[in-house]
Amino acid sequence: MDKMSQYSFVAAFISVALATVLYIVYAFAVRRQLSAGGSGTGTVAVASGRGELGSYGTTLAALGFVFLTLSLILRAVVTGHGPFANMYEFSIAFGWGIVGAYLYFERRYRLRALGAVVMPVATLLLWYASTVPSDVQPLVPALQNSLLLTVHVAVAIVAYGTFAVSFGAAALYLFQREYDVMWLPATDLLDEVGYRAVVVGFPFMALVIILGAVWADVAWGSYWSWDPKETASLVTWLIYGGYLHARAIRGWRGTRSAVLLLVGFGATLFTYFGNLFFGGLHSYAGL
Amino acid sequence: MSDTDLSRQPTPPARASADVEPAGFDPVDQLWRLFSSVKLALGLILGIAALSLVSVLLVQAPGDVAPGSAEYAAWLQRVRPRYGALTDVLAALQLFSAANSPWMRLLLSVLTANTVVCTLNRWPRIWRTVFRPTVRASDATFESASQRQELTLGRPGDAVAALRSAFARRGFRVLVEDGPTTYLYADRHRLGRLGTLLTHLAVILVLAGALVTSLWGFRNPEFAVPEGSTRQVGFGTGLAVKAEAFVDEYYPEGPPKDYRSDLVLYDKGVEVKRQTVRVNEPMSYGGIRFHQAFFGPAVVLQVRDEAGKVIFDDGVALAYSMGDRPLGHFDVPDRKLAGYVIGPASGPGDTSLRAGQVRVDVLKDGSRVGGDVLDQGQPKTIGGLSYTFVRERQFTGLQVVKDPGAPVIWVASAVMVAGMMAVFYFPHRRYWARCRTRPDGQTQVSLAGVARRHPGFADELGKLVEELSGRGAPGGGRPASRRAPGAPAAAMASPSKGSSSSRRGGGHNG
Repeated sequence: MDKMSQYSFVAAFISVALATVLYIVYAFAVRRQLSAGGSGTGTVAVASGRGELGSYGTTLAALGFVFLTLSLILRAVVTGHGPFANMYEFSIAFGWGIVGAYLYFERRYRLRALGAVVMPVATLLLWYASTVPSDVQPLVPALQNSLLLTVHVAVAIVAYGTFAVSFGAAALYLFQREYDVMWLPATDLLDEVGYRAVVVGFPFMALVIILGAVWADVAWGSYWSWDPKETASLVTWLIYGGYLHARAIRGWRGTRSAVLLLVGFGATLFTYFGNLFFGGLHSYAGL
Repeated sequence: MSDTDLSRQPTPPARASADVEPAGFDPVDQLWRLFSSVKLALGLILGIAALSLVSVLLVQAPGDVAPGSAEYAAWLQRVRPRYGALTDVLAALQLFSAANSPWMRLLLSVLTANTVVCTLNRWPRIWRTVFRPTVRASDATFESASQRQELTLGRPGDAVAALRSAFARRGFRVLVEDGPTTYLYADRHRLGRLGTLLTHLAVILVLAGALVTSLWGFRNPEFAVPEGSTRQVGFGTGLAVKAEAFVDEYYPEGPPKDYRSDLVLYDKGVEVKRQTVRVNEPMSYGGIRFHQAFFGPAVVLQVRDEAGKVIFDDGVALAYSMGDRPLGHFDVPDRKLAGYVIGPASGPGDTSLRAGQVRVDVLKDGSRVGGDVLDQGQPKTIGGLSYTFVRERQFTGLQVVKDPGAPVIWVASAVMVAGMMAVFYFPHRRYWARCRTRPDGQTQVSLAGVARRHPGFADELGKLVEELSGRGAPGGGRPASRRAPGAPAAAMASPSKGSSSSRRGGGHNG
C-alpha cells in the first residue's frame, strides 16, 4: 500500500513536471510568426497550436492532481492519520493544494498562462518531497490529535495553495506590465485574479492560525507562545491583511499590490520551511 | 449613502475623514483623524509584521527572563558571541524580547485605538447602507455606475412588477419608491456588509482576550510532582495534585509514543478528580488546567531525627540541572532545613557519582550544614540527622494554567471567521432601477449595479436583462436591450470583474 502511494507520487511528479514544461512553452515560447506581428491565417494557426499545447498542459496537471490525491489517500490509509505528519507528507499535500487551487482558477478565469508560473512552484515542492525521507514515522505524543492534525493542516494547504496562485498572478502581472505580451492575459485580469485568490486564502489562513492556537492550548496550555512557526504564519496573514486593506480602502492596484503579493508568498514559503532553520514547538516533526 | 458614492464604484461606503473639509486646528479632531486613517492601520499592521519577523530571525530570550534582571545579563553573555558588538544595541532596543517589547505593546495599543475609531467612523454609513438604503438613485448613478444597462419594457406597472419578480426570484430584497418616475432598489446579502464590522470587532476582542490572560490568568510551567507525592498548586487555589504514576513509552524505532500521568486532584484536602493526563488530554477543574509538559528522575528521600523518628519522607523531583547532573530541592520545615539532591549524570562520564548514588547537601539559614554521597538504602548522618536514599522514581512535569482570556479568544476567533466569510463569500450586491414612461407609453428602464468582491456581477446583470427582455414588451417585437450610451463593450462588462471579455488576443482560449 505504501509502495502504491509512492508510485502514485512518482506518477504525479512526472505529470506535474511535464505539465509545467507545456505551460511554460505555451506561455513564453516566442514564435517567429507571432513576434513578426503576422496577422491573418498564420497567427490563427499558431494560436491554435498554442491552445493545444495548453490544453495538454491542463490535462497533465489534472492527471497529476488525481495521482497526488490517490497518493495522499493511500498514505493516509497506511499511516492511519491525515497525511500531514512529516515534511514528505506535508510537501505532497502542499503540492496537491497548489495544483488544485491552480486548476480551479484556470477553469474559473480561463487563465492558462498562469500555469507557467504556478506549476513550477508545485514541481519544485514535489521535487523537494522526493528528497526528504518518505518512511512512515509514528506520531509523537504532541501530534496525537487526529482531528486537529487533519483539519489544521488541511486548511493550511488550501491557504497556501491559493497564495501560490496569487503569487503566479502577481508575477505574471509584473511580467506583463514590463513586456505586454499580446497573447498573455491582460494586466487588469491578472490583478483581479491575484486578489480573488487572496480573498479565498485569507480566511483560511486565519483558520489555520486559530486552529493552531486551539491545538497549542490543548497540548501545551497556551494559545500563543510566539513560537517561530506561529509568528511566521501571523506575519504571512498580516501581509495579506495589509494587501486587502490597501486594495479595498486605499485603492492600491497594480505594481504595488503585485509586489506585496510576492512578499506575501515569500512569507508563506518562509512559514512552510521555517522550522528547517529555526527550532520551536513545531520542530519535533520536522514540520 | 450619498448619491455620488454610487458612481464611485470601488469606493467603500465610508471613507473615513479624509473627505472631511479641514476646518481650523482642533487637536481632538486631528487626533480622531489620525486614528481613523487607514494609512496608519496599514503602517501598524506592517510594523507588527516586521517586529514579529524580528522575533523569528533573532534569538529571543526566554519568556520568563525579564530585561534588566541578572538572568537576562547572563543570557546576553551567552548570545554575545553570535551578535558581537550589535548585542548591546539589540538589547537596548529590546529586540531580544520583541514580542513583549514596549514597541509591540505600543503598536498593538495604537492599532486597537485605530481599529475602534475606524469602526465607529464607518458604522453610521454601513448601518444606513444595510438598513436604510437609498431607493432613489441619482441620474449620475445610471450614467456612470460600473455596471449599467438600459432596456425598454412595457407599461410602467408591468415593468416594475417584472423587475420586482426578477429580483425576488434571485433572492434579492426589493424596495420601490413610486412617483412620476418609479425607482427600485434591490440588494442581496446585505448582512455581508456587517462582516467587516464583525472582523474588526474580533481583532479588538482578540487583543482584549490577550489582556485578560495577562491580567487575570496565571501559569506555572514548572510544576513537578514526583510519583507517589502530593504537591500544592498554590496561587490561592487550595488545590493539590498527587501523581500516582508517570509512564513514558517509546516506539521500537526510538521516538516517544506516549507520556502519561495518573493524577489525583484534591480541593482543600478532598479528592475531587482522578484522571490520566496526556500531552493532548489535559485535566481541567474549575478553570484550572494541568497539561503534561515534561518529566524526569526523582528520588525518594527519608530523614530521621536523633530519636529515629521520620521527619521527612517524600519524593524529590530532580527537575533542575547543575552541569550535566540533575538537581532537586527539598525542605525539612520542622528543622528549618533546606537541601539539595544531586543525581549522577547520565552516561558513563560521571566518575564521582555512580548510578544508584545521589549526593545530598544540607543548608540551614543559608549556610552549609554538611553533605555526603548516599548509596541506595544505606542511611548516612549529616548534621546529626539520618538521611536515606530510599529508591529512584520519576516525576511528572505539569504546566498549570488558569487562562480566563482563552474563551474570549475563541469567541473572537469564531466572530472573525464568520465576519470574513460574510465579507468575502457573501458580498453585498446592489442594483438600482429607474423606470421612466416614454411618450409612446413604453417604459425606459435604467439599471445600475454596485458590488465589490463579486466576480460574476457583470454576468448577473446581463442575464437579468436577457430574462426581462425575453418576457417581451407588449407592442415591441424586439425588446430593446442596448448598451449604456457611449460605453464600449469592454467597459460594459467591467474589466476588473473577471469577465473573460477583457482578455486580449485569440491565442489563449480556455
